[in-house]
Amino acid sequence: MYLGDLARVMLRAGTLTFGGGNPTTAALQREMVEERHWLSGTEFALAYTLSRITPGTNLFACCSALGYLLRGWSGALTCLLIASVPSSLITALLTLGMDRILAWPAAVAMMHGAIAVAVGLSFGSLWTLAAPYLQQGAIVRGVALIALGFGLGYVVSPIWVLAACAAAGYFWSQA
Amino acid sequence: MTEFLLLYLVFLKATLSSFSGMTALPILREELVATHRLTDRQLNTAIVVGRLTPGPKGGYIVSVGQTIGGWRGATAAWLAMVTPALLVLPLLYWLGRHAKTPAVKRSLDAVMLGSAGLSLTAVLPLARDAIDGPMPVFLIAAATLLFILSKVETVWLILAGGVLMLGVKMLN
Repeated sequence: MYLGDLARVMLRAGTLTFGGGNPTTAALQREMVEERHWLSGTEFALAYTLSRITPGTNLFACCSALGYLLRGWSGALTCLLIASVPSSLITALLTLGMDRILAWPAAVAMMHGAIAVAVGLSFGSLWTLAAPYLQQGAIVRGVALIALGFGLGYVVSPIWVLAACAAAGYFWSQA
Repeated sequence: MTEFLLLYLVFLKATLSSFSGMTALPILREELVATHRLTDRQLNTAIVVGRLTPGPKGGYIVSVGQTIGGWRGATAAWLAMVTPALLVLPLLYWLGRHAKTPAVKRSLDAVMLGSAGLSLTAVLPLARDAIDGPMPVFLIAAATLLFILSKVETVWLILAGGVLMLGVKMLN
């Protein structure tokens, strides 16, 4: 796998995937694990999990970790830059015209529709990310862990939620 | 240069103290809105911009940077957003060696599943905000199914959602 191939995958996922970090991560999982077989599910899960416990923007940590697993430091830096620069540029450019856009009712209606779709993309991506881990003959455990993450998410900081899930996974045997 | 550095430090403080998209918000409000460098309306507009653009939801801080300090502000915000990302590499280096141990693998799988539940707590309030009639409900359901069942680029789904909502408003 060449650095150029990695850059192309990252560019497509980083600039054409809307709806936040989860849809982008799900798109990367689909591309890198299921279609191109660059990484195993466990390696992808490692990158994703560690990015969740890294302070800051999880998506960029995840992209750096994926790049590092595939191509070392050059992969990490390439993925970080390609995942962050184009999307940030689009954000900065849209900000410049936002006041004019918000004064135009048709554009506000379109934004309303786009935000609803972005919510749907988030739901779909959560399913896409979780599904491979639910299909390993342990549905009850999987649903219990999702419920644990959901329930604790309302009461404690995300890092403690993830620590609790990691501990539950560690001690809850396959049998 | 000093202004750039100060903005970078404010944004870095906000991103370093957060573990998911919107959790930097209270710090930005305290550092920028309370000091009258940004209004609440500008902050809300930045959040909308962040939702409409590709990349993470936390990308709205680039919009905040652009609003406050133009391109320099946007660059400071981008830099603050990417700096902590590299902290994942030492973790990967040290913990990656044990990833294939069965118990560690079970922990990783558990965190993937727990993360899905955790992320639901962030998505549900967005869904509540977005739903004000039957059309957004249809769009959310259609986008969910299409993301799972097809390989359509999400940019087209976003555009289709916008056009459909515009059509409904025009018909009304």
